[in-house]
Amino acid sequence: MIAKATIIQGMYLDSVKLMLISKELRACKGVQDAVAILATKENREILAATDMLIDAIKDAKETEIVVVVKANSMAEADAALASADTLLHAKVGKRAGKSKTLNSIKSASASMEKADLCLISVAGKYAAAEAEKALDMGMHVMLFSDNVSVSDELKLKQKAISQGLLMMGPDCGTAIINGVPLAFSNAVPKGRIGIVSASGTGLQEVSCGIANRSRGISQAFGTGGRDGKAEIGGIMLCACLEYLMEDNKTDVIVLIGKTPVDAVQHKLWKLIGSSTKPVIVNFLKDMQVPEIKNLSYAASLEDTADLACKALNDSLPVEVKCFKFDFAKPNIAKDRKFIRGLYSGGTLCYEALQLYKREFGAYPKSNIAAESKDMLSNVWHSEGDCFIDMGADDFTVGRPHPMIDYSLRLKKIAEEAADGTVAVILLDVVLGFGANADPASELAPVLCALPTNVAVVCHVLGTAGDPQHIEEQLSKLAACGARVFTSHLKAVNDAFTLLKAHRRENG
Amino acid sequence: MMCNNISKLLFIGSAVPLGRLDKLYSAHKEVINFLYKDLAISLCAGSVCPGKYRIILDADSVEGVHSMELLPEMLILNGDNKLSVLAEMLYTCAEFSYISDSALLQQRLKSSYAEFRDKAIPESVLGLVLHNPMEDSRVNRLLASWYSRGIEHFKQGNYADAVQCFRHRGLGLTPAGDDFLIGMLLGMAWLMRVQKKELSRIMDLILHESDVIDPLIRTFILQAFRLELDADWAGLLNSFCDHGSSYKPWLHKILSHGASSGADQLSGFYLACDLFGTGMDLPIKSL
Repeated sequence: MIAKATIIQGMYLDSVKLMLISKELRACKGVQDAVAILATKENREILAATDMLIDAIKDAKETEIVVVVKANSMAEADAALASADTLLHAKVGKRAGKSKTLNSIKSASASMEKADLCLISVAGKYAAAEAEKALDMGMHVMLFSDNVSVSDELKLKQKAISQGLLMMGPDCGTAIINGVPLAFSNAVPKGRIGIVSASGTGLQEVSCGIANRSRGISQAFGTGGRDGKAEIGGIMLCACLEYLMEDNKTDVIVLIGKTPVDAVQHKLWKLIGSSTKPVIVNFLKDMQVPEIKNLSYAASLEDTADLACKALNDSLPVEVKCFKFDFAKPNIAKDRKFIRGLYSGGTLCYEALQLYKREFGAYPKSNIAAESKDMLSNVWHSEGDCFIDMGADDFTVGRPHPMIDYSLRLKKIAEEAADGTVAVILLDVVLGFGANADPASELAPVLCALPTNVAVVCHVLGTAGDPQHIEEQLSKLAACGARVFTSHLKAVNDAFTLLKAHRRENG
Repeated sequence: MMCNNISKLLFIGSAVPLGRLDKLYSAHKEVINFLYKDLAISLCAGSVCPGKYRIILDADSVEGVHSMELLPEMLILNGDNKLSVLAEMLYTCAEFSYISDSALLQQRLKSSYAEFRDKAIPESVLGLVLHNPMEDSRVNRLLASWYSRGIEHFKQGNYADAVQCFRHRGLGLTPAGDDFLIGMLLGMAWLMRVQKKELSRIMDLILHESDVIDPLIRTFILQAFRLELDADWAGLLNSFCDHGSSYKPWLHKILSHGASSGADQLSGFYLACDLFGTGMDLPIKSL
């Protein structure tokens, strides 16, 4: 075993960065242990006890940070330290001027005179003021931040409308404007379908579904989840819908979101009825909609993409790009009888609840249940059939979103599999810009170590153009025994089919 | 100069001294720590919560500030950026007094602990002790064993030995063990007020044994000792005795302090409540 170390001098790093570096180094090839730690006398005792206090750092000052790596060979230790150096200096390089750090909308705008859209992601209490500044400067706004009050949201949206500007959000995580993916979104080609969505992963699932059917989108607007509520009155849903109705690059319109209040629905139906363009609507639950000639109501996100592509009527076949994998029948243990959905995408989790109700007649337990009787009493402890949105606030405090950081979900997957009553684990794996760079490699060690008498079903949301290479992701997951699907509907149906068959066979 | 973009002051802690500070102790994007005698005075971006030794600016970043001068009605950054100081910007600490509604206090404390236990990240002190490091890291396993030993010493009343198991040990720029001790002192200082516990001799001993040299940790420890809480901690402790408010937002905010600092301080706080509080009966003692 070889230990190598380096002292970090003249560089200030925050604790989060130190922990991430330790974690990344431990994942390097051949590395047995690694730590980036303050060289206090006491911490050096700990390093000594683990054979990691080597001469190179014995003289480190108490206020200096040391990076120590223990690896199988000198070459692997050197490689790990080199990657530590890269990780450490990544930020410094950025500060040194390769990319500009700008500290206000004013300075950002001054550095890019033609900018007309401002993406804002700051602490909630400052977000409204920043959005207002951007609107005052004549820019469209995508407000990624949440924790903005309803009254501020209303004020901002009214202001935007009066100036003919877009105000997407607050809590708007996905949009594709003029072909540019913003925040969490996927590589989707340009095309003639326009999307308005009050849901982030809903927009991602449908836009990927369109791309995987060899079609593209003109614009994909996010409105924020509260736009359809009475307080906001569907201001942006209506404005974006009107834009797409007028837009000569859009032939078919898709409208997605949780069911708006009646008054907003009424406005939307009226607008849709005044257009000649086909409009595909999905309000994420089974419902009756008025009979309007150009309106189609989709029963799932998958159907939404499919109907939209078909409505283009472009004489090309509507076929889904298929990645074929053969799945063996899982050997689920007799005592295992429940399904556990562990989601990073809120809308996907919500859709799974609706599909479950359609299949089994009642809602399962969840942390995002609409009714209190279906709410999990403790979000950290699953019970019966249950579906958890791990992107909810309870799970994201002090951590990056689970689309980026898989650590908590990995822990949860292992816990669920260790629970002898769980038959099927259902996961979503979201690819695209902003998401984890290689989720399958994070999941693989955990999935491969699971007992073989539990089934794992994965929905991989993405397109062939996404930076993570969807085919590789699917193959890696399938190699660990996961049943992989690029459609959420198909993944959920597969999971339910397995569950029902298993329950039938075991009484 | 970046700080010219900063045009407004949000809060100024009541312990921030008048005069010029230009000796940097450490600098990060959101916080610059200036040395003042043996303590640290922090100049912070708006995302940091107010505290008695902090100045909070209406800015995303404080990068580029190398000096500050506080006058009675003005704060001057880098010698030329002048910001008005108004009376309403002064941050003073919340006061705590004896709580008669002990049932509410106990119930809130237990619920908040249950939530904290589930959410504490694996690298925090209680995370390491409770979960036994998930990762195959001997350093983490060794840290967990030091912390377990320290908790055992606290339970046995061997306070000096206990402090040595935590002091300056652990991950993070303020090592997790120091954050734990800060939380212990804060919990004990709070119990002295709300349950009228006599813990001053034990606190003196812990403070003495902590023997902190680092000015930033010293500032935190003294604040805990004197119960000079930042706004997030004040919010949490107030929520334990207020029927009308929830502990959750405050707990979440504290958990987001640093990488694990907030969780480590909470670890120490809950152990103090379990060991020295009345009727709190958290399951830490039985670890």
